[in-house]
Amino acid sequence: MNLPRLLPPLLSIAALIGLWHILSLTLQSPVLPAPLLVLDTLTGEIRSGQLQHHLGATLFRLVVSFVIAMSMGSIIGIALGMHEALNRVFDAWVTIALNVPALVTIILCYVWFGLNEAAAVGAVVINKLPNVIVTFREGGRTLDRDLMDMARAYRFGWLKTLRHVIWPQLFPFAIAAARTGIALIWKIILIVEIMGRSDGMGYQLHLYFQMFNVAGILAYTCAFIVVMQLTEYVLLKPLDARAKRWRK
Amino acid sequence: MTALHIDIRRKRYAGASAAHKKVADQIGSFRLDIEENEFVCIFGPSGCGKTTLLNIVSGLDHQFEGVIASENTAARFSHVFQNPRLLPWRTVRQNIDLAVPKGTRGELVEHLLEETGIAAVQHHYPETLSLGVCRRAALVRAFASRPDFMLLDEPFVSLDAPTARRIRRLLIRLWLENPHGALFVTHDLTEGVTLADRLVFVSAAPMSIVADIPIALPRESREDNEQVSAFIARIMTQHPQIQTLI
Repeated sequence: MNLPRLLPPLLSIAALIGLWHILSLTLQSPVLPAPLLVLDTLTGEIRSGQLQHHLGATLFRLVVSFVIAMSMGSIIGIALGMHEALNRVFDAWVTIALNVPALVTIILCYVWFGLNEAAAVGAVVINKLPNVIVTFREGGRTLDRDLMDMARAYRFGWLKTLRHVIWPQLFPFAIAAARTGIALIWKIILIVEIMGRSDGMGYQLHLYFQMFNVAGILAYTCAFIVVMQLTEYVLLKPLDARAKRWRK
Repeated sequence: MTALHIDIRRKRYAGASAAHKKVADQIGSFRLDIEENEFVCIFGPSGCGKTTLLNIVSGLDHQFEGVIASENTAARFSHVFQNPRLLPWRTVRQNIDLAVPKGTRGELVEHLLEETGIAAVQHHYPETLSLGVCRRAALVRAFASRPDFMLLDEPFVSLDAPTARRIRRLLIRLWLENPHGALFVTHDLTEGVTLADRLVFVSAAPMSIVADIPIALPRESREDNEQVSAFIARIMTQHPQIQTLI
């Protein structure tokens, strides 16, 4: 990362914070606290360990549900993409699952399985799964039959075929599913926490909402944005670049 | 000794509907025995099912009536397809190494890369290379996998004539170094006469054998265009039934 490339986005973020500062000065209202006050709240929350605790709880749920949804969704999606007969049977299921509102699955999970961690994670997985399936199904459909035949002719075996022939073709789809997945899970996980958990970002945001503590809400939001940007730049972007290096 | 015994009683077009069963036979009755280390060339009109035949022999297509049998049950096949079919996300060298059986020393691959003149680009990705180079890489892969039997499906199509000639010579040189059975599909009769021990002419669909002609021309004289042309003229008069196929 070089400075000239990093400069425009940094300047633009600084401008946004400046705008926020001016707006809060002119409004002089508890509805929009100044950036410095938010920073103050943020450091206070970090010092007390509250932020780490709640952010950690949410991230833990995010990672667990993400891993489950991605692994299940990729297998089902590839199977549907490669076998048209299978897809004809289950296509309607996928469409229905895509259209059930997130809130409905969350309520049903809590009603059926109780207000526990498994129900919370399960609700997130069920919400995310159809998207992963649809993305991987597209990937499975576009798998190059010629290369599959080549792998069979040279007796690659399934492990070698998966690693060297199938996975590289699905990688862009996996990245796309991961990107939209994290964004979607994050939004759903908050509702899950508001409705049935006693820790996590959703719980904390709900608490601050009831206390009318906008500074607290903004402090948690900022912390989350930083974490998400880090995953994008540290994890997803490099993986994306690695997957594309063979292209002209 | 027979290395490979092909006996196909019937092969239907994939996806043919019941109503079209009569016209939908792609391969009729087809029997061919290939001796050990024999190089057989198959000729026929386009669309007659030659590619399908190779797919059946290499085990990619099981939807047929008949048997493919080999003396050596663990026989290794290698397949050179019409397009190079290299994995674009692996380098040329990785593509070749993937097809090489475990425990093979790297020397053979090195040697083949040197012989084909692509050693310098072995760590490049296929998309950055020309079609000719990719075809040579596919050929190296086929030889490096140490096959008992090699299937080649018009591997030199869409190459310019000098490049095709060079790679053809290379194919013969590599094959003479390491002989094995070969089934070669082509449209180019001169190419076939230059390469093969035997020419097999097949009909349009439903495919069957029209003529089976051994090439009684010593390998040394096959570089000589006149001798090759004379040989072609001779078999044309001896086997008039093949004239319509070319």
